[in-house]
Amino acid sequence: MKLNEPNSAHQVAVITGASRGLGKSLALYFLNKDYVVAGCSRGEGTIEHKNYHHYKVDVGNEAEVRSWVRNVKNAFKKVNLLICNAGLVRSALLLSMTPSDEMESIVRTNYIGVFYVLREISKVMALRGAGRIITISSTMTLLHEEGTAVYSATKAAVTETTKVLAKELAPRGITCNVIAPAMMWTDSSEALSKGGDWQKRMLDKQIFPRIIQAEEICHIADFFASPKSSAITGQVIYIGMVA
Amino acid sequence: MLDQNSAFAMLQDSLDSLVRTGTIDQPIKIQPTTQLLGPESSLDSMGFVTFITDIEDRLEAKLNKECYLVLNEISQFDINSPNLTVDVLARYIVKLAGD
Repeated sequence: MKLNEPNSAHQVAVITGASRGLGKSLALYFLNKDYVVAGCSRGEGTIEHKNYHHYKVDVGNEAEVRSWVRNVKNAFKKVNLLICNAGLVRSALLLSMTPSDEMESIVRTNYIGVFYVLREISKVMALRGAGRIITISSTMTLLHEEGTAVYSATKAAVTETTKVLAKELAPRGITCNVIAPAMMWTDSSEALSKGGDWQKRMLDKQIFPRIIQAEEICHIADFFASPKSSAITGQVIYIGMVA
Repeated sequence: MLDQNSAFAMLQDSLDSLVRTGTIDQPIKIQPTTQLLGPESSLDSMGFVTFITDIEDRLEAKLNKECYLVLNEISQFDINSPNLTVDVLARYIVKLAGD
């Protein structure tokens, strides 16, 4: 039986950045759908559930990611769904003012970390010939907004990498898709908005000028994860913005 | 520990299992000079990835430790002209097992 067929026993979802914000909402959503969830973050887990397993991992650290994925594979024998959610939303500094270590930190978490996780989990999925991969990008890639040179570049890279991976993994029955939400209310965006009228300016650029709710993103993730979405790959769904 | 013959056998077993699971279409009977990666290889790109992943699993089960096959650790491997024979991979596996 292929893993994503509806009658398989517990499906296993791996979600990065699962201790708070969108990652936590996604983890709770898929737990509620009877998945076993292996979540990770740099800190302690914040979800208490019999089917939730938390791992402390810095996704920007290659050795940690390799070891973590090996542990997940040994524990659960399969990964049906991967959601690469971990990411940094920091600073709104103009490129000319962005310190190198700030740039490197964002690139490491938002892109290099996604690369490591995609590489290791895709091998687990390829071996079993099935799987669903979802990455989280941003509508910021459409806006070219001042102060987001590094952040938007990493998210554009995630989108492109996911599309290429979709082609590479299609022969093994694995789909790869992207969710690109407009402004969400997270700890990170809350911190950013303290700097002035940032929130209003961002909302004014959206087609629906309101905060995107985590439930809306869970709904799209559910769609991509569905057994009925087996021919949908390399797609980007923008939420709250016309691409 | 693992010797060259055991490494050869492991590679053959892995390729046989990939045929059984439908990952690769045709059986591959390996010789030391058999190309696993490169223009003469019978494995396509994803077939090679799956093969390497399966070898990592087998090594881990046999040696009871985490094992990662990192191609650019192989001295003869040129990432700009990827080419890998059974003999070269088997030697690397023996070295990895002994580390």
